[in-house]
Amino acid sequence: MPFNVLLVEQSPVMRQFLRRVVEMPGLPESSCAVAESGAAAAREMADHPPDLIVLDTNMMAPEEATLLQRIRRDPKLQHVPCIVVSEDATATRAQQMLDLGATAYLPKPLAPAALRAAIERSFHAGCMRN
Amino acid sequence: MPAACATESEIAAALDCSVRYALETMCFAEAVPAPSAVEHVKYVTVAFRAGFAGTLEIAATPAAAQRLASALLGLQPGEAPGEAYVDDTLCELATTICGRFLSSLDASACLRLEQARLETKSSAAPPDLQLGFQVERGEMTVSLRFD
Repeated sequence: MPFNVLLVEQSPVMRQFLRRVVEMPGLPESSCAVAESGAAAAREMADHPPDLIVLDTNMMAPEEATLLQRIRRDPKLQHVPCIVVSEDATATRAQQMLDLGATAYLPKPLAPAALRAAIERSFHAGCMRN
Repeated sequence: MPAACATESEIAAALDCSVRYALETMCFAEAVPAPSAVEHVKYVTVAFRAGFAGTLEIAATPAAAQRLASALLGLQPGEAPGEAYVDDTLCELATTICGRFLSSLDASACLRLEQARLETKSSAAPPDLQLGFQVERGEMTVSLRFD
């Protein structure tokens, strides 16, 4: 059974980019769901709890922080790895998102290899279902 | 002009480095410095606020914009990206370059980036800094205007 990966991404071109990386050969078989906003992501997570979340914070800051907090407070989702990607490469922002519960923080420009490595680490961390 | 945090040459170097790194990392494209004298067709602006405020503008010729979109989408040779994808690619690159540039000037700054906007023409205000690049057999110009 494939892993459920939720891509939270506003940009259509970045959704394709992320999907391409998640579906690269060599990673465990995954099925991708996409959400264009924090609200859409919340609905998707309620209907189909994901095994891994990739959250692009190319949204307004309060929404991304709220979504991450909501994930970490939800008993069904709090252990789901959440990889945050952002155009903000400052240490301040990275620490803020890690403090909120991000599993990894990847600043843009996002190299496919960096995202792939973060996904692999999430798989191997044992956080995901068997 | 953010004179308190960096000199003009440091700002130019940071912007140049951010453009090259973003294009190479996300689109596998080499950006070679070139005069910014060509007529562009697509313009994208991102308003920002960090230790200082301003606007970053990216202008690209159709050839550059299409090839960058193709690379980001992973299209095969001969496949053409839709216009919406081309526009979205430029918006994504503009925010990425802007974020990288501002972060490289001050790693402890609190960044605020507005949503990237597609424009039909360049700003009437003269840029405080402008860099031209040859990208994928097209042209790209990156301009900075400080508030």
